[in-house]
Amino acid sequence: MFARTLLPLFAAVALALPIACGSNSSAEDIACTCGTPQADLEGCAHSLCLAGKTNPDNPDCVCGSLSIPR
Amino acid sequence: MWSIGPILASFALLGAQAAPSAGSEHIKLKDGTVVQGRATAYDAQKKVLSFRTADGKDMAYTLDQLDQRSVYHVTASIVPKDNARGQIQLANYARDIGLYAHAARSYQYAEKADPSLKPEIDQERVLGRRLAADYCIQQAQAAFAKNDVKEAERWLSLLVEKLPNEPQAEQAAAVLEQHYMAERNARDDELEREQAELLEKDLKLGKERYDRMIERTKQGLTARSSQSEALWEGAIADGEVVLKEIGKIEKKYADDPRVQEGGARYRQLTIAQMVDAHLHLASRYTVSSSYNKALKHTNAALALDPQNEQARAQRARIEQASSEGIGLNWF
Repeated sequence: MFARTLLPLFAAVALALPIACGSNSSAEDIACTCGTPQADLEGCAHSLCLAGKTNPDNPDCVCGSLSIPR
Repeated sequence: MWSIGPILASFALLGAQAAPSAGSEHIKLKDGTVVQGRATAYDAQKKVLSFRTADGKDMAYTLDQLDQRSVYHVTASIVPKDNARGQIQLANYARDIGLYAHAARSYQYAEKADPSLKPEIDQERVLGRRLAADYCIQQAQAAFAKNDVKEAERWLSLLVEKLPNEPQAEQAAAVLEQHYMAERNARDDELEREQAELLEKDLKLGKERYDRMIERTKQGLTARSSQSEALWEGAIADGEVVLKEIGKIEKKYADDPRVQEGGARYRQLTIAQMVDAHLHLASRYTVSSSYNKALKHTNAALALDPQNEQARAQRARIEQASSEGIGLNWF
């Protein structure tokens, strides 16, 4: 009974977590250095930047594009 | 200073009816305020960005209200990669506000889109190289002012490795010549005093090769391009001999904790120096777009120090550039 009640809650949390984590970053990922002098010169090696996307967790990240509809 | 106006004016009104969800993007205003939400449209005539904030408010910002990086971000979002002229203008803007990596990339997109524009792009790159070299010198000076010699050395090394033909590279090499040995010698001063007896007896060859490894790495940084690679290769070979010698004395004095501790510290210093030499080589090979050689040295650095952030970042950049078919040159 208890498990049956909680099951939908667990399912909802499990589904919501990856969506909420916009940056998809993990401990293994290379740190996002956007906004530092070094990254301005050499480029940032964070996975999102290399994939041509903006890192939503770093306000100084200008990699990728804003979603301005065309 | 170059203006972004002409690029933006050449793009029509974008996405007027869009109603996207909020919360995953950000723009920064001139006063430093960060606004979270999502861009909904850009009016090229009025130079106004419509932006829905994370809490559902519809805002309109003129480009004059945005900080330079956000102006670049908006512009980069509307200029297609295959628009050669647009990419050149975007690159010039990025270069002039100090976003050198972004500028270099846009010049490459422009060249790819229209190879006939290469002479013009190369002209712009000349200025890019000069500005980037100045930037390295400024950063090194700022680091010296804070007594952060290691950081200063890093900026000067970058300049020498990546922009070896710029006049500032000679200045950087001269400063490195002055500081490199002193900084490296200071690293093992204490250890030398503690392990004087061992160094005199069992670790004589190891110490000789250790000192030569440092000298060769420094010479690689201050030499002209063609000789540098051989010097860094030599430094790595010296490092391998040092590691073997350390291994030998650790075996010989297996029960002596002082020797074991000294050996471990010398191993750490030697590995750090070998990683440096591998990364100098990798960096130099990226300039000539020799991906495989650059990758080989980056992997060798990671084999010695798997968590080295600089090496991990370098490897990721090389792999990305290789898969995208673009160069790793700054300019």
